[in-house]
Amino acid sequence: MTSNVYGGDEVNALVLDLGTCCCRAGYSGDDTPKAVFPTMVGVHSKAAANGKNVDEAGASRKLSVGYQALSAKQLGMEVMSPFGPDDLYGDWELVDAVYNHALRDRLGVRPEEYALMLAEPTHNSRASRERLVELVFETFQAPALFVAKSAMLTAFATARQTALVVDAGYRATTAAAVQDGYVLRKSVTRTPLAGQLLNHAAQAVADAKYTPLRPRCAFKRQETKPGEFQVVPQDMGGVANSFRMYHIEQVASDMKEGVCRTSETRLFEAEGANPVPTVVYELPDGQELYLGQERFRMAELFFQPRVFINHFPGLTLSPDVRSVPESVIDTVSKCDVDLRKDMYSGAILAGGSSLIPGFKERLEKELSELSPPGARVKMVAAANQAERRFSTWIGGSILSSLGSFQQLWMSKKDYAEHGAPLINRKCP
Amino acid sequence: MADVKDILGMGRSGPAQEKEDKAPAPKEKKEKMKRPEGMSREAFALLGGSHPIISSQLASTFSKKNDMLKKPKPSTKGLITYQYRPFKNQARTDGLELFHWLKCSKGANGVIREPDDSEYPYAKYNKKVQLYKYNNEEYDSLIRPESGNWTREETDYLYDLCEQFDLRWHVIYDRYEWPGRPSAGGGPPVPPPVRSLEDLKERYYGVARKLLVSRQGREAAVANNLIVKSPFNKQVEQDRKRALAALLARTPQQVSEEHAVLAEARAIEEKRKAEANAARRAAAAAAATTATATTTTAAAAAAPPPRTTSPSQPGRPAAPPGVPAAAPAVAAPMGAAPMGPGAAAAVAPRALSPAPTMMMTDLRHPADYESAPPPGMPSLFDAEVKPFKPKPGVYLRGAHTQAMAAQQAAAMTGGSRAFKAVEATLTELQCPAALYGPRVMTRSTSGAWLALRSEVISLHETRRNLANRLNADDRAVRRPEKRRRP
Repeated sequence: MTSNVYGGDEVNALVLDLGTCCCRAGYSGDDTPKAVFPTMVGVHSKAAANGKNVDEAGASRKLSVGYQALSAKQLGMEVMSPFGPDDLYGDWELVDAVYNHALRDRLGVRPEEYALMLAEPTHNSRASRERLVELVFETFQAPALFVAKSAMLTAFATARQTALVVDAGYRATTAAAVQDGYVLRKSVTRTPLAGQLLNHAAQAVADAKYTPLRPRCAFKRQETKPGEFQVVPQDMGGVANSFRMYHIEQVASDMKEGVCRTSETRLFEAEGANPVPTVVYELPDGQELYLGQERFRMAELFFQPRVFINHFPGLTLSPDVRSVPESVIDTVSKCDVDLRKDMYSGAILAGGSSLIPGFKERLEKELSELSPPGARVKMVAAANQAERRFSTWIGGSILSSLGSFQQLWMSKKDYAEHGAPLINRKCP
Repeated sequence: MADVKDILGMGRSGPAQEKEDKAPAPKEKKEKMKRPEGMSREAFALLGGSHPIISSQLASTFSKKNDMLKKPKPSTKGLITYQYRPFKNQARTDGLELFHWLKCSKGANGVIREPDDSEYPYAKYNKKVQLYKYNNEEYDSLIRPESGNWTREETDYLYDLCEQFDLRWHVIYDRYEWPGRPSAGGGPPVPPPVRSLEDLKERYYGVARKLLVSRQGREAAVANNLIVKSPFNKQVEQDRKRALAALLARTPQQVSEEHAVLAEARAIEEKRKAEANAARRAAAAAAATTATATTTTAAAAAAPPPRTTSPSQPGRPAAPPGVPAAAPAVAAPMGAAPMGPGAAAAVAPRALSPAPTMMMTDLRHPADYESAPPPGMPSLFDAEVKPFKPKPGVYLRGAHTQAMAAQQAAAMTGGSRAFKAVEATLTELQCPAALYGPRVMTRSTSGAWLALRSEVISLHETRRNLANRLNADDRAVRRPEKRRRP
């Protein structure tokens, strides 16, 4: 034994976390993932290029994954996500392509030599899990596997077994109660108020106030005089719509990250209510946007969605959507009474969308107002940006490198004997 | 783009601006401190590099023994190498072999592994909860008759979950999905009754209890076991949960109402106790005073109204109602205490109504001090206003009294802040200031002056104690449970 310090034993295991925005992969025992790349997959449908029927062409799709593949302008390439409309794994070919890229291209390992720790969406269904297990054992031939829910791993990343995990991600903000290391499935709530919505809101703001956003590949900046640039539009014919939308969303995402702020108190709808200093944001094509109140209105969507959605033309939300604090309260209400106090005093905030300045304090404040008066609300959030974005991956790394965890892997032999449904017993 | 410009230090105004000097001005070399001998580089880096003083405590830990620059002594086991080896985990049943790094030592001819590599050290942490499981006969004989609507299959399923989750009830309840037994006629399965957490616990603990009792034969043998000693009571659990929910949902108004009620209850308790005390003391005093009918007590008893301020005598109000010696003062509504000195300052010679039960024996100091002490009694007073015989020598009464007054002030708990309140009260009462004392220092004036000061000081002290006690009690009521977790 190298060292029994802290109960750790680094075995040959990899941790893969396929999120809705980006996929994170790395070695177990590390403190950050080695490979982080977007989950979107570029799909070249050869049949469409050849004019054949699309249905036949299911097998002859060329899939490309990763930053390079998605950035260069390619004609006829669609950008699709492996996740379906319910934010569970939809297109298994794409899932396979993403994992393949992570393992072979980015990490450069042979999957049959490494045990795999996979993070799955917290609300994953039984069928989806079993399909995932089949994929891993049949396609990648891994020797051992463990599938863990994201909320559980986030709790482990902060060294807690009992916590209320609020994960502000890309497609949805998930609130889940973790008790004694197990996610209480009946308490999981999700709202669509998350990064993707904010991207669309930023895009709506830019479109409404200035000019419609353009993807980076739609123009070139040529230097006419030293320091002066002229914008030359490029031909975008033949570029798929999803590709265009994906790149526009990248621009909007950068704008959102640079500019959004959460207000400390509830914002009022009135236009000139709070005078706010304007900030300048420069788009890639040189245009400058002056943003003032919009910065706060975007983040306010998390807290007063039904009110502020009207400020963003083109965005829609279902009328019964719950704001983030409300959905957290729902989660706790679905727990047993005994657990509620502990949940309120041990809440963890994670996820990329929680990095908006002021988000944690505002959420804590709103929760204190909405929660029962006898409960004290305390929220914990990692200060480090990397820790917040990768908290699920880090939890997986911690878990798979524990000495006492090594008896919990589901091995290939187990799969051969009992089949995929064993995963529900081994990884509850 | 904006961030890039920020990094480069460029202005936003126009593209025509020249690029500024990119590199920031080079940092001046901070005065570096030399790393002391024997301290490792990493430890020194932790200090921050600009410590002027390293305490001698720290310096003493530098030992010459760990000098890493010397050649390492050859270890008896040989050279240390790390080997990537497969290992088996005894807690597993399928013989999975994963790889990890082992610290091995290389002898003259080859590698020798760590001696205790046969057992995986973490296998011993695979602990399971002890479940009381039945077999078929036990089920048929003991448990089936009293099962209610629990079938054998459902009970088996429950036990399976209990084993899987080590009796973590909240998780078991969350994952409990009994599909229901197939109906007799082959139609769709009969939906099971909805089981609450208490139902599940009741079933498990009921079965376990019966099994325990039957296996041991007699009740007495297992009476110590927790399951038998306090059987699971579903009703109690449900009531407790309802109460807990109500507790969490209390609004701050309700909480403060509760506090107020509790404080009042305590006050009433105290009043009753004090009255009992006073009654007891009255009985004792009555027995005592019948024996010694001194004029002073009679005179004092006959003069409850305060002696008004005649300039020659420093106003010495008899018994400001706040004099704390007796608990009856507390029984008076709290508002009377601040009224006390104010009432005393009032000139009207009315009876001091709020404390009718005050006993003259409770007064600390006599109403009068005799200017001509009887032979044998010393003429000076000490800080407690008792007759005080100093060492032989010449003393000035005035100076001595000042010193005693200063002693009284110093002896007061609470420091100068509290004494300011005392001074304020004294000024209100038109007591001569501490600096001068009474204009003419005779025995009676100096005694009366010291007595007044000491009484006012004790008034304030008692008031503060009372406030502290009430606060502490309030806090205790508000948070009666101590924190269980560290």
